[in-house]
Amino acid sequence: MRGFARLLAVACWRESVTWWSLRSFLITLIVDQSVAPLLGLLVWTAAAPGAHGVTSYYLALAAVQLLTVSFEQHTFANAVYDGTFADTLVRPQPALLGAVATNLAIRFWYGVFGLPVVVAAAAATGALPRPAALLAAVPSLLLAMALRFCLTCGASFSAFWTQRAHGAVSLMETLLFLLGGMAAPLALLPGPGAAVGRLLPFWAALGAPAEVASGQADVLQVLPVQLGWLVVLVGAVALLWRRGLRRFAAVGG
Amino acid sequence: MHTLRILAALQSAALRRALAHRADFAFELVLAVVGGVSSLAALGAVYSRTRALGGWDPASAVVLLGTFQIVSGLRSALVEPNLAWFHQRLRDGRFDQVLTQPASSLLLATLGGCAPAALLQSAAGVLVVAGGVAAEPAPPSVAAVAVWLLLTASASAVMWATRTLVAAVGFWALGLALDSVYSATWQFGRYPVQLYRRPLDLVLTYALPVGLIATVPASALVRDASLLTAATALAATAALCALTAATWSRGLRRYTGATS
Amino acid sequence: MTTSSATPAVLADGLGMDFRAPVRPPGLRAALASVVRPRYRTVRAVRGLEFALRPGEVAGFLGPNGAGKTTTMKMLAGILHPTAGTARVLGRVPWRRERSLLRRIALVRGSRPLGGPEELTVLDTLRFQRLLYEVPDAEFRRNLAELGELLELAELMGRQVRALSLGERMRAGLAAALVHRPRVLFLDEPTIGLDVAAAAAVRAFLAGYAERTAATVLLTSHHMPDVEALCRRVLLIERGRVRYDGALDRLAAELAPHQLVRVTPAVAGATAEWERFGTVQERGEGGRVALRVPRAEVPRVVGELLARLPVAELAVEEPPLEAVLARFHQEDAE
Repeated sequence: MRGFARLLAVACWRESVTWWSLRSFLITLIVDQSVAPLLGLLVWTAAAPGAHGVTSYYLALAAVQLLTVSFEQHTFANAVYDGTFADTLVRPQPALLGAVATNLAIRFWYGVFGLPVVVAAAAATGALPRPAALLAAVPSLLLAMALRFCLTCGASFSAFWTQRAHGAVSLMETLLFLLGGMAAPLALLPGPGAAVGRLLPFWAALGAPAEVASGQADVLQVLPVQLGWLVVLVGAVALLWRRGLRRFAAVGG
Repeated sequence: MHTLRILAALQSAALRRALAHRADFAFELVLAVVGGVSSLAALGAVYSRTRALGGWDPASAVVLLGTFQIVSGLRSALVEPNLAWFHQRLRDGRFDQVLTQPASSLLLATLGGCAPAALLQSAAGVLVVAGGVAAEPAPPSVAAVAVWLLLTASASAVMWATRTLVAAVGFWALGLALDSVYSATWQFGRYPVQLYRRPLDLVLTYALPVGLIATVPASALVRDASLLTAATALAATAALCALTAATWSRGLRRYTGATS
Repeated sequence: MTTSSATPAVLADGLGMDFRAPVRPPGLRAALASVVRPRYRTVRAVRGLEFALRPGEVAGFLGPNGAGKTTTMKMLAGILHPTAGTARVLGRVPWRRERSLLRRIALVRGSRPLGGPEELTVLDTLRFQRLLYEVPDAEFRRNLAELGELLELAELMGRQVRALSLGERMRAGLAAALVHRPRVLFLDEPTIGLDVAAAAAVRAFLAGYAERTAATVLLTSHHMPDVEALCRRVLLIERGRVRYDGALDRLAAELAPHQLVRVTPAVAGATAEWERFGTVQERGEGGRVALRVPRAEVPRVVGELLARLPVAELAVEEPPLEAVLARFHQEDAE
């Protein structure tokens, strides 16, 4: 376990340095990731001008999006397609180490470049969260990071079976957009949308910490849902991984 | 004419290739349907709280969304396969091949390949437009439909021209890949530009031609087809295409191949 | 439009190409510094290049890696705009990319033998070339029949490009590049990566093609057999300048400061202090030796050897070209 932690630390350091050299590209990615929450903010302040806390919710959501977004369809699935994944299997280290390290490195730089802008926007609009709510959101955010990784990684494992891992991930992201609190804050969804949405993994991976941070959800009600989904998704990812490796060993890249 | 025949040959080759992978088509169909339904659902959620967004009623906003999907589908099918990560092609010298061929390098490089399955997105967009029009109190006039068609075609030309301009940045700054910024800006087109507050609406109308993508064509169909607006849009489109062609040929002079 | 035999088919007149490359020292601190103040250095890939090829001439273009060979070829093929000087190919400025010129030239790169979609068959690719280069039907069929036979394409025609081996790809790529009968052909490392047999086949084909069609050919290669089989004239460039332009068989004399003096003594075992005459490069049976002697010293050394020793046989040779170029490249790198 200590060996793994050290390997991960080294890999994270290497990935961080690599991504630093790609910083102009990184900034364009951050711009891209910030658009959906920004659009949500603009649309909902126009549609429901009286709605309580829309601005602080979407700013918190922008921060959550930057700190959770995952790209395993690019890092992992592409490695399966171009054959470099076979090389990582040969090395005496966990085969997913590289993907995890890249994930963490990208989120680190997203935070460094993106969070100041979000905080400045919150200060400018007077939508800064209360410190207590922010603190309560931290465990929820950490769980959301893990959940988002599991969702993206699990969808990317479809690369073992098909050529369409990017499509599978974009399908998952569509659901995340619709039911995760991006298209609309869950409370503003019509009909049973809000009640159903709160029980699904998409909200747990995206909207939940933002609602906690903006003081619209109670962290004690949110954490059990997130923990439950984490158990389910980790199990599902492990199962897919084992099946996928067997398939990879049988048919090759 | 010669270049058109070459483009037709390239497109038909791409279509034959795509038809060989029918499973891809099925999957792309699922993506198009899910994407379309999810956009409609998001719009529905907004209109469950308000009756008008930037002065657009629900039916008109659906027409706008459908128009946006049509042009987005054309972008994914015809332009993105050629221009996505274009700076990589400049950097590793894959772009050389285009330049040795006796035909317009601009058209070959920007329209030479295609991903036909993405046209399903456009087909879904047509259905959405039809649904929006059906929900309008009165059917549009033939003239309004004609102007909408013309302006949607012009929106596609704007899409091609602006996407090519963004890719051509690579001739000057190889390290600057603006693909993601383009996609991000593109997303603003799915809502009426009147929705955005000052000064964003002005920027999206005049500085970046986002309004030309869907707002202008859709308003021809569901609001009033002002001849002046249509003429202005067409003139802006022509100017953008000319700017793109000029920028491209200047950029070619800067091209240094894979040596740098 | 017409180019008489008096005007060169390819002309480089003070051709130069500079480009700016960012300087990125290693390390995070240097990377941070480069954000604030990016540093560039100007790379002078080609400078003041002067040469002309007569129509029908086949010339080798030699030089170490990074000497500017590929950059020059790309300028002549219309891909790159030079930053200095000018060039004419069949009387036209290549980087204006006039269709009438591009239809009469071809660039074949061994590292990228066949472009275009990988899923197409070889025949599809060739048909596309016909459309692209506007080759009349009858001529296309005739050229294709000829190329197909020489390159043994019959069994490749129906196969997808992506399923071809490198050698097969090169054969198909040559057919695609030549089906419009270019009058000027730029060959950039046409045999790179090929095995001995495939390289020999490509070489033989190219020699035959050049002779049959009287095309003007400029060839770069690191394989000396390619150059020896195809070119009588060579241009040697070094750091973007022409260092030698002339006959291939005089290149060694020009470049190598030494010659080889082979001596077979009449009496076996008749030893001499060979080191006094030159450096011993080889020792053979019966006391035979090969001495490396500075070119200027050769007449004196030969005279002394004949005077002092009972010599059965004595020959003066140029060192092998491959070795000369290897030494030249090595010196250039230093």
